[in-house]
Amino acid sequence: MKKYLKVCALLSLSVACLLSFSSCEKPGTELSELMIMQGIGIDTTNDGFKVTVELLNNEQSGSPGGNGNSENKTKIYTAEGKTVGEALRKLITKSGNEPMFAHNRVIVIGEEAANRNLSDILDFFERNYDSRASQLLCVAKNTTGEKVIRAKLLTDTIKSKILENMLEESAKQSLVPKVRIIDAINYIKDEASGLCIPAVKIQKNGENENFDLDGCAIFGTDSTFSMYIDSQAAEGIAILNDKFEEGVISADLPNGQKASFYINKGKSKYKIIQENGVLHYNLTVKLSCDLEGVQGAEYFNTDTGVIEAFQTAVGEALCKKAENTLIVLQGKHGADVVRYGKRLRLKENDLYKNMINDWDKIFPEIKLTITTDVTIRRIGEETFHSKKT
Amino acid sequence: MTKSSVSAPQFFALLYLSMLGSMFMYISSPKITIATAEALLRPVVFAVVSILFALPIYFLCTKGGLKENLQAEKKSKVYKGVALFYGVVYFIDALMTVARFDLFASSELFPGTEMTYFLMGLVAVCVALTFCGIGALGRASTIFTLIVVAATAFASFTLSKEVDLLNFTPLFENGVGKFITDSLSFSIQASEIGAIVIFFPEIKGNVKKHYILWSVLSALSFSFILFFVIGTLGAFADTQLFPTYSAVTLAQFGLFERLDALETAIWILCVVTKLTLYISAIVKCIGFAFPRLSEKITAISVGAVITGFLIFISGNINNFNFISFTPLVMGIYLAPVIVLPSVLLIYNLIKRRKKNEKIS
Amino acid sequence: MENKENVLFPLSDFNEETYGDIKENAVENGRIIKQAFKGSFDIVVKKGYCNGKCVVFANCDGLTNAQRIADYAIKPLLTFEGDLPEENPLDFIQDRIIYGTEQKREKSLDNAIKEILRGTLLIFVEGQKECIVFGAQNPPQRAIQEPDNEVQEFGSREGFVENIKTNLTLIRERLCTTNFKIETNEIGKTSKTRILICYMKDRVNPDTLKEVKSRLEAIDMDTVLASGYLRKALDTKRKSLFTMVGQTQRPDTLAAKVCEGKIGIIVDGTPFALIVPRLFIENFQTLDDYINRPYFCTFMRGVRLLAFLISVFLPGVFVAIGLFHQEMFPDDMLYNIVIMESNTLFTLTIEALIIHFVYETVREAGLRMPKAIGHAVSIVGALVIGDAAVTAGLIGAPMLIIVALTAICSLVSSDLYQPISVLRIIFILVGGVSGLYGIMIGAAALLINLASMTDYGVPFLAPATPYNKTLWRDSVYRASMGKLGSKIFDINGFKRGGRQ
Repeated sequence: MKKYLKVCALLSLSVACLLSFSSCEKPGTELSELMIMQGIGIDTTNDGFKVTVELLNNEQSGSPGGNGNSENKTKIYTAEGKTVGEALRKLITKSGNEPMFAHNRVIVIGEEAANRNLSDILDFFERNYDSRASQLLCVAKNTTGEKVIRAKLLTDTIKSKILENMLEESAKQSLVPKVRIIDAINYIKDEASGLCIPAVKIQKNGENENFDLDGCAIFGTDSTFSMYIDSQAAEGIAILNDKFEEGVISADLPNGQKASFYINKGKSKYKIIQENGVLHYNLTVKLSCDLEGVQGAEYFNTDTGVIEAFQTAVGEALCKKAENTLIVLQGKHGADVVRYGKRLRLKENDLYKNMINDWDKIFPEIKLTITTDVTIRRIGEETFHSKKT
Repeated sequence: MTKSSVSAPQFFALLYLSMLGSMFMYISSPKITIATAEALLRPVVFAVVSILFALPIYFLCTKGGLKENLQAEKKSKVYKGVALFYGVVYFIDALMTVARFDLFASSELFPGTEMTYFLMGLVAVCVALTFCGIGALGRASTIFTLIVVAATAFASFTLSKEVDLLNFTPLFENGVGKFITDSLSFSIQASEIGAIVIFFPEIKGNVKKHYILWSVLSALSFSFILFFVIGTLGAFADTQLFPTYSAVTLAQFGLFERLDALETAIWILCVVTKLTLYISAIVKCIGFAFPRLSEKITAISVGAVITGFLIFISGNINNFNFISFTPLVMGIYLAPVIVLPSVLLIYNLIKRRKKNEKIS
Repeated sequence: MENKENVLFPLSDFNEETYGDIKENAVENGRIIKQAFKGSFDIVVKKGYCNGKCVVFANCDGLTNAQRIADYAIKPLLTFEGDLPEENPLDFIQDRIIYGTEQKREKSLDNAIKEILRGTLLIFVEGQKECIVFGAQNPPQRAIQEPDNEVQEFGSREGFVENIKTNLTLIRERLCTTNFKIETNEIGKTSKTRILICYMKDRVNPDTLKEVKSRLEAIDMDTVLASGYLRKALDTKRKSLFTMVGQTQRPDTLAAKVCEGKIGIIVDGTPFALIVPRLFIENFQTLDDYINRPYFCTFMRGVRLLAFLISVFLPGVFVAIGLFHQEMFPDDMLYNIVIMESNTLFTLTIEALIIHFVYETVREAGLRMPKAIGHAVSIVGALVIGDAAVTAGLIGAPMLIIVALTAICSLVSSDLYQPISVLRIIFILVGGVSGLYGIMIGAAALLINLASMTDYGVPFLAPATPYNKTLWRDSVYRASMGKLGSKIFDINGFKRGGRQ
């Protein structure tokens, strides 16, 4: 009986192995047969989408650190299709390799494509197993995604990596918001929120080209593009979104001089009250910053007075920045990209339920009050007495 | 002796792993929203329900004299019938586990690859592992639990900076009634509890204490996992078929930007444990009902039927609907946890009364 | 299985002749012995007279100390000038004439012949139905050396040799207590190999001892030439790559294990002693651990455990990631690996198998080949694996690094080399077919298989699972000696208070 069992088990195992080996030609995918995407540019055609992808050139000869390697690090292919998914799959006809989205760093949405519904573009990335929900998004300002991906940079590098670093570091410095696919989808799903995606443009520099982050593109609650905001306004979004944790701020001092500060720690909190039918958002910001530079030297006499003046100036500059941004957002094509609706929902759900249908009208009426609490942590390597008046 | 005996902590480590497995492969259902703050409270209801619903089992094991009767009633038709029923319920449970894992594997692990052979391998391994006995499974499960908990804690640690409190919604936004119904449907996924009855003679140690500990720890772990899923994904969680998996794809650690394959690989330990537990339970039940059948042949036949079923359902997404078909889910929870233990309890009590009457 | 062996080599063929009791005629006894060995030149039978009484001496030349025999037995007997008493002359000879502590009497000629082969001198006296067995063993013996494959940094430099008595002495030196007991047995129908079962009377579990003895007695073998022959009988779980029978070449290790309540088995003619039961965790423990500081010991045990895991799983995991989970590589690493691997001929799985095959072959050749040509092989190995294979595009450099690391790690716990090398190949295949998921299923199966191993009532994975707080203090981590107490580790903790 035991023998019989063993023979049965062995037979069934070998049959299973045989079947599995014969049905799929070879398990897994070799590294050299992969189309390792680094960046994807998405544009529209008449009845669909055009994708431009930057791929790692994995058919190079020689070692990666070796010299004398004249081949490019990346390759660029373009394909078209009725949906983003179809276009991306069609890339196989160009490279012959299997697409791999897992290492994709950025998705650049061309300006025209931005005018379409964002959900159409993002659905593929939301559904695909391979694609990371943390890929960064940006909009190609005044140009197409293809041009951004094909930009002629001075050196042979992975362009998407540069773009990714730019977006990451700028977001860290609170210059533009960091928008991943998952963020975009969460904004789209929230009925009150709009979306703000960093905008990148191409700067001509002789024969070469450079990337330049230039403000943000604002998408309305209907997930369609509504307007651009400039970099000044974009800088305020982090403050309003209570994500202002690091960055540079320059302040006007009472005597007309200017000073710049590096914020190294920030914490903010909202309180919402309703007065006379108008919503008041009270934002308290706690900052700790270092003095980076001052124009002129007149402030180098009394220490405590100087520090206090600095603190007030930083607070005022911050308020101004945030208020300016809010004014832009509350303007004609603006949208609630700072999740005021969501905040209201969490704190005053009943109020929110009443207002949600008219949120487009209510948002422009919102009043913002900012209270700042600034601490100067360091003043740099110079003492206050190093300069004489 | 050691082959067939398992200590209470080891047995509940087994059940805990099995529960974590369900949590990792939690399937979004259109009826129940995940991305709400009260989802964090659902596990509390789970703990309470698990403790309350286990009362029939508790009385069966204490006042019902389950241990002695399992020896004495080897030829009783009622016992045999109940054992067979248990076998059938756990067989359906095993099918659901495999089906759910099939869906998970083919959507997230190897999309685009034929998963049937992989799953056949999994079933074969689980069948082979049932030969090692519940004792070995229990001992191994303590180490599995450590590995899985460490991996989950690590993933949570890497996700902690991604958590955005704005992703939570106000508590009881849709009313307390909806919360209770959602929580109840969340709570009835632990049909493993019934396995206590099947393996009761083998479990050594304080079952009551460890059961309560198990339900509390499971509830806490669920809340913990859900906190990170909702905190990182927000409304995105409801767009994803397997939200826990989607949350893990966001985990980054230093240079390593995708750790989901590693995490899911570790989750497979839960699936292996769960399936082996079910097959062991089925084999034991069928062994009780038909003592002449060889355990090995039963196990292999069960594995073969599960494999056949897999081949049948694998190809079409519609075939997977039964996983979240509420009456079925409810049935396979209530039968082993409440109905069957109650039947045994009543039978035992009646029989005892008759005996006492005869003596007096 | 045993029955089959018996059919192939029927043991009855080897049955010896019997010669009955010792005859009164001493010369006849000498003749029978000569006849029994059919004139082997090393069997010496010599006739002499002690005060007119015929005395016959018989011994095996190579196994005895000729000087000792001549000085303490033959010379005193042949030069004795007094009268031998009529009653009990053998007693008189033993008490008054010959010198030597190891003496006994034998009535059966068969046993007497066996005694010759153990290196004794037989003295037959005319008219006596018994003979004197005079101990004068001096078998060829290797000097006590440090064992090659169990090197300790700070431990003793002595290792077992082939001689069972010397080995016993080496342990006796270390355990000066009457609680240390030894039981002798003979195994092997032809070889009649002596084995010693040694244990501490106050620490050993009587059930375990009984079990070991009965298993050893049940062995039905013709020859036992190495201690490993007995493993099969001592190990019950045969469907596992791991074993619960330990092996050591060091008397200090054996002494330590015996003190933990385990049972040592020393086999004559081999320097390897067996220890039962052996836990999984003991593969990562050395004697040095108890000499080093606890923190360092804990660290080193962690390193050994990690090395074991790396040597089993790393190639498989690399193949799995390279074929199925490329997204797990960090961006820049992927770039480098892709370029290096894109020039190779084979898939990662085949690469890994080829290079492991080459490595195992070189290792086996290094072990078996004459030492004089060792350098040549190592040069060829280094060149072939190290350079030429990569340059020729047979394998990629990353795979080479992985295999090198794996090979080094696998040598850390030398006792586990056998399971490691097989498991590694299995996991490469599994990883190449079904990725990390397959590897994890395999790992789960392996762990459950290990957990199912319980021999002599002790679970193989103890004290990790089932967890035992007292024993855990000396497992992966080692508490300070003060905490460990006088009894460092007691294997029977599982039986008395431990959970099963």
